[in-house]
Amino acid sequence: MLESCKLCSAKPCEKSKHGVLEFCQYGIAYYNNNGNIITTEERVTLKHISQNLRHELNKVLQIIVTEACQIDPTISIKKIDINKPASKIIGATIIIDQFIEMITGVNEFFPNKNYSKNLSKKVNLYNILDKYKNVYSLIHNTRRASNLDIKINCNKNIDIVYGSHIVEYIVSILIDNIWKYSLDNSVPLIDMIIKDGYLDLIFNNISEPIIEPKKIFTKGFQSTTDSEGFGYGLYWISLLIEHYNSLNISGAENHLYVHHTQGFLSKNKSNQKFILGNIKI
Amino acid sequence: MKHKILNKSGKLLMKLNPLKICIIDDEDIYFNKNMIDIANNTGFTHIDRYNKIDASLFKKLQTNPYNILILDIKGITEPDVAKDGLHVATTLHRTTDSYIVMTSAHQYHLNNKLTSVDYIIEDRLLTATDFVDYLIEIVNDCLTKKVSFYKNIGFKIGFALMKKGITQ
Repeated sequence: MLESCKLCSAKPCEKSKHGVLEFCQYGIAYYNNNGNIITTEERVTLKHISQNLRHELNKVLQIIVTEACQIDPTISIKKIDINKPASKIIGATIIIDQFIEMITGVNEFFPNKNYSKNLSKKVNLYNILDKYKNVYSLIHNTRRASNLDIKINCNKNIDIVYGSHIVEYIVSILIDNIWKYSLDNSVPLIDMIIKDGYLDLIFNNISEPIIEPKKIFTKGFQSTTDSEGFGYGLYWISLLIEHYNSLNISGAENHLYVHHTQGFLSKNKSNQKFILGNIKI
Repeated sequence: MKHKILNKSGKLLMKLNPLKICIIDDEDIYFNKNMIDIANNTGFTHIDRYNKIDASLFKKLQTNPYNILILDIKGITEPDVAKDGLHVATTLHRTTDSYIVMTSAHQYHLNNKLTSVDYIIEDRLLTATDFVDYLIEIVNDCLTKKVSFYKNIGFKIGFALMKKGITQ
């Protein structure tokens, strides 16, 4: 059954009269045949649609990756070199793959604790930061920042040891946001604070002031109407963090969190600080 | 110059006494010919690639097991052989010494209910270099966990030399 039908309490379809063909508020067409409601939409859940999407598109992306390897056999998914055309192709496929993952939702992120084998996979933090710094520099348009000089002040030997797949995705969104919202020619800084077995990552950048900063983690919020994207990224981060914490067995004091602060520098300039805290290392 | 010599002699020893690796994935594009060619050039000379497990291959996997078996989950088995790749993994883990690797484009397939998996390839997209990096990690782990001290000595020395040649 469609997700929207499960959520719908009004059930206008059931209240309709015989012979009525109508659309409900969710855009689903229904026909009342003597009290028997026939929906013209396929009864497929969003989960199934998204899984199919991954299934069908992943092989296409792999074809692109394979062809890029023909141009340059030394390229890797783990490191993007913006001076190599074949590596840039890989970078572009990574962006598409990230979008598929967003559409597939948390289903792609270990639905429950039985997935602990992958949850403990180690990933080098610096490599992730460097990779997405380059990946998101590939997109150029008038709504994105140009000439950014992102500095990474991070120990190169630190591994993320828990839920690295989820943390990697959150990091990628925060870096994409730096490219979306920073002022041109600025110098964003990705910094870190190491605690006992944990680490806080701090993403600093200079942007125009955010008018309603409390709302930025709300679904579909956009700071300005002409901003890049749909304002979904930070909401998606909050969903991923919720999911990560539901899988994490350690206590609430060690829960992963994201926190935002803003410091006004001038009328049109603010310092934005996003802290991704309690990353297990 | 030194690393070239190490690399070359390493590869030669690996070739003389190779680890047998088998990959089964229904999609040709995954673990494709290009990747396997590059893996061969790196010293992993015995790699067999199949799309599906029929009764005769299943028998071969049991009676003459590979050192390393890389399995996809969905679409690789004939219905009379097994339900899916996970089922094959469980059976072979119980009956052979094969080091079993699972892979899938879907994270949610890679669950931990099966304790019969030695390694999981999580990355959905792989370049040839990434594949070889994975192979090195897998072989490393396999040699530690599944190959007894006296077996495949030639390969072990060759593999160590090859790795030294890469890092230098």
